[in-house]
Amino acid sequence: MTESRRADTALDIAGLVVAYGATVALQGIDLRVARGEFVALLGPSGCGKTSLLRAIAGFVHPRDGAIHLNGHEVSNIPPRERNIGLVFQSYALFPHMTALENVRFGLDCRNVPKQAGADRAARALSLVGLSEHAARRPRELSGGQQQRVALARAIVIEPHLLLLDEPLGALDKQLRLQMQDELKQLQRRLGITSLFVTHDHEEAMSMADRVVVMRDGQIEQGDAPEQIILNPATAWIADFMRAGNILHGATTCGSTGLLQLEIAPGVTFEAPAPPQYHASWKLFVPFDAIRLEPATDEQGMTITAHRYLGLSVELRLTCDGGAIGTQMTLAEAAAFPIGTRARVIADPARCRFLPQ
Amino acid sequence: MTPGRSAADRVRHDRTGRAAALYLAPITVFYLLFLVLPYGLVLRMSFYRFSATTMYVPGFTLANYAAITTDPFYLTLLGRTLWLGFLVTVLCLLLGYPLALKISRSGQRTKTILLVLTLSPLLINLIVRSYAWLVLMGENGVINQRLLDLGVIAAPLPINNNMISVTVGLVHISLPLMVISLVSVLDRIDPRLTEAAESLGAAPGRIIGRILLPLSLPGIAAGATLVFCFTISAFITPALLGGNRVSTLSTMIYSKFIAALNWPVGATLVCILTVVTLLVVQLHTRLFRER
Repeated sequence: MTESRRADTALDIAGLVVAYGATVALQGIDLRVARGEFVALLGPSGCGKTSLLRAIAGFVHPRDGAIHLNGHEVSNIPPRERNIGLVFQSYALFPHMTALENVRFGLDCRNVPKQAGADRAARALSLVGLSEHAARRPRELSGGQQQRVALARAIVIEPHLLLLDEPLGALDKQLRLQMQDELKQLQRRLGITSLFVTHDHEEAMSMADRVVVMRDGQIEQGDAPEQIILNPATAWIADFMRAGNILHGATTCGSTGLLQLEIAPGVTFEAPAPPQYHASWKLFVPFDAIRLEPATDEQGMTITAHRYLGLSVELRLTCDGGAIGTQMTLAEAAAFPIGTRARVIADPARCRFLPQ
Repeated sequence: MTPGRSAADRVRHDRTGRAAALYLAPITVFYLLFLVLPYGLVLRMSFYRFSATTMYVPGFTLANYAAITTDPFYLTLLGRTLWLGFLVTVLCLLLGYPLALKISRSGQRTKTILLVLTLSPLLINLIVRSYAWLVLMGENGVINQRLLDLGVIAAPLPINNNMISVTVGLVHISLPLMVISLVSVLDRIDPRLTEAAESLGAAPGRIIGRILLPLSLPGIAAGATLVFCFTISAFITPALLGGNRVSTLSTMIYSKFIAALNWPVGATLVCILTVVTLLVVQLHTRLFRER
């Protein structure tokens, strides 16, 4: 490791393997997180993201590999010596202590003098906007307030790393959006290196500097949020991110350098032919690469469903066993009522063949 | 009754009320006959006067209560009984807490094995068990004999027919009650709380002292109440392991009724023991009412 790389790397994981008996949860994870970076670990349940978080926190012992925190190997030191802030989905606040006592707990463990500890805990509570609730017990606080106390408790110890395990999962949607903004702002302001586990792709996209998508105990792709959507590494990611259509079927040579895929008689899509194309690859057609044109009854596909997503609409179109979806504004969708037919035109430059 | 409530609702309510009364009738009769009635008779007996010739003279006198609560002999007896209860409770707590902690933190398999082992004393007949302790702790018992053979001691240790043997016997039978109470509460503490404490830098001692002990107070109180009440009313263990040298309220009640044939004083002691037990239970309810 070079000196400069060490200086700006907070967390460096190499070849991490975690197994429970015969079940392998993580099969060789390599991940580097820069100082101050906010990384989301995204994946469906069972993909290993929580195992990875617990291994970093020290509650799971890796079978192989190394975890470096600020340049120090921590695999063999107990959780209490790692100086990592943890925020749980269930908050895990101490029910018999007030909000302030909860926040103070980590400072007491570090033998911070009484007055200094009280001051720092009070400052952390005011940082999350809970100063006036300092004397309340967790059961007297709402879910969002409890989550803020949990956050204050984790950051007051000035951790090397903040780990958040689905921290907003138990909140209702409105509050979740608000907390996403607050959490992101706080993280930027304090510059705490953070690792955030979630199964909600929108949450990952809206908060993180970098999204690491996990699947079956491996990292499938780690990239900037927009790159995951625009350039998914695999068809599985594109599908998981709900970024567009994943189509498969027989391919033929289309226009120059393009491969053509027919999903139903007369309904074809084209995309650049990849160098190592394999028959198992699938065609990714982003929702926003599709344009619809009104068609006569003999042409195109039938519009079978409208699904309203706030200001936009998702349209489903089918034709002889083939199906495709696209998104457009409410006003545009008015021209394509259910039951009518439309011709589907996709921009070949935006479509791509992807491995599984 | 709210005006919005329909007549049909009322009928249904009455019907379920009547059905419940019907279901509960047998158990009510059972308890009236075999619990309330005998206690009532004992209470009445405690107000009678002792007579050497007719056993008791019906009437109403508080003389038995006055005599017992002023007689140093009975006060010492009461004090010894309460001390025994306290001692056994504290020992059960000290021995039981680490075990309960271990059980609640174990995997399912280990947990089952440890629980069965913990409960195993309850599966052995009380008298058989008490005699087993006699074999172990008697003057010529296994422990003394072995220590004498090894030359560790010159004369048998005084561990039989005294408070020590009674305490050991009572701790042995009460420990499962304490451990079960503690495990049921410790099991309900979210393991993430200890993980959170650990990640915040807490050493094991601080986790136990600041997190687990305060959160398991209800279990400690329930176990302590159970063990205390069980101990102060225990009869067979103090009778068999105490020889005739350790008397408690229970053994005294027995000898008053069976040997001295002084039923009024025996009944008065029963009432005092019952009141002490009820007071302890009441105290527990007051301090640990479900909030």
